[in-house]
Amino acid sequence: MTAAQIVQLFIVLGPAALDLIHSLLEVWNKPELSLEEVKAILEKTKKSYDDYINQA
Amino acid sequence: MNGLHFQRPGSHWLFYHGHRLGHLGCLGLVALSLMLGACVTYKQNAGKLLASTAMTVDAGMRSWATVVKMGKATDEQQAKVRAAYEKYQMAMTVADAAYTALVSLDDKSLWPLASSQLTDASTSLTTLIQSSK
Repeated sequence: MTAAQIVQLFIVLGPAALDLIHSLLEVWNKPELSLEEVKAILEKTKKSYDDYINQA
Repeated sequence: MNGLHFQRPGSHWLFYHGHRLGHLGCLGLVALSLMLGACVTYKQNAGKLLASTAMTVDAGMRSWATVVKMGKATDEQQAKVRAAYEKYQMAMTVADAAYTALVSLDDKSLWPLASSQLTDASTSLTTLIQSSK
């Protein structure tokens, strides 16, 4: 993740970007990320456009 | 003697399963370990890229949904973000399959294009959300 991308995240998300950056650092600092761990993250974020709007 | 051991006391030879390795053998082992390491790193980076992209888009979409709920997004903006998100979802499905092939079957052929398309789709989506807020 580049500095430009981090700045863009702050612009898009505001303070919520801090939580995201923390989660991203956790992922990238892990020595190993298994296939199952990756799949679990993908599954958790698999939502339709309407799911996001309804859950807001 | 089982397995690999390096630098026996008083000796400059390497042994592998009881066989003395020459310089080429040593270089071969080093090259093999480097190749295996590079392959593991490639797969690890692919998984981390996939997970990071999913988490970033998820945060962006949650942020966008708040804007929509507050009534600050026009119908046209919503239609554009919806279309960009659906394009991202297709790219993510392809990248997910390519990553599974990479890790499970050691098939590297699909990942470069799939990851590039995923990056393009997610960047377009987050840029669109940023410009619509």
